[in-house]
Amino acid sequence: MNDGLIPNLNELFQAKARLGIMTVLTSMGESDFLTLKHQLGLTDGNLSVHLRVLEEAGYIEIEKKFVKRKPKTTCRLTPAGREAFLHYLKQLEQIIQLARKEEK
Amino acid sequence: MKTQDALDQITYLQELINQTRLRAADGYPYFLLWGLLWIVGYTASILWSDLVWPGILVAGSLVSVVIGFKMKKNLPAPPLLKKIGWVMLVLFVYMAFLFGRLLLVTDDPQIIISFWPFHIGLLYILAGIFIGRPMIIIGCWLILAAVAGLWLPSPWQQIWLAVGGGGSLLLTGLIMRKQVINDE
Repeated sequence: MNDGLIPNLNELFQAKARLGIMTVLTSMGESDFLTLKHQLGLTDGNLSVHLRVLEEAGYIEIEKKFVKRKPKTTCRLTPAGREAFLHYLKQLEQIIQLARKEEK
Repeated sequence: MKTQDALDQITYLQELINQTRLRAADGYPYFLLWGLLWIVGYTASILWSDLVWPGILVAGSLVSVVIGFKMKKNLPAPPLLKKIGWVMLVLFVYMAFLFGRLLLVTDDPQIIISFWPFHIGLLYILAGIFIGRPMIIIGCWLILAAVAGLWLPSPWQQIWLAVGGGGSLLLTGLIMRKQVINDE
């Protein structure tokens, strides 16, 4: 049902982990690596890969620095990332609304 | 994408938002702590001296910091909450300055005793604008309790503020704790 009805659905956000990262960052503004890992239940490697994909797409910024001699990675949404994610959420809503119309 | 996939994604992100959103109820340890300290403080000020307050303030602040660190481990504070916290701290210091000025211009015990409940109520209302309605309601109640206390002679004013102020904070903390436990 509804396959292909919404064109140009951003495939980057269809992975659950990336959807989670974008949701947490939208909700909190920014988050560090450990918090994301804890909240999304991902491994270090897995989270790193997904963050890199989002960074390369220009959706998030990753800042690495040392705090008290310990490395700290902070991730935050870019304006483009916020816009793309909100657009994606609207598309999700459209899919559901279309399904409801079909049911009626 | 199929409708069911869209629904699954929305359900997942709603769960995540629920985990990360700022809930007034999560602050229940602070309400329990300060409710208890109000009761102890006002009771001690009747039985002993107002000099207990600086000690209570220091002890309460230290325990609050410990609670804050523990909460931060479980759920890091959103940037907005951090900003609210700093604004509250600055306002609290300003209120302490005002309190010092007040002591220079009046020795009316009713006004002096009601100063802090009134101003803490204002802080709660301000925080409530960002955190939620429960904080605004508690803030209004504390201001009402402080104003009502102005017409009560000592020690009834302190007893009223212990029960009406501290008691209401304690009760609010217990209600919030129950809400958090139910949500979990």
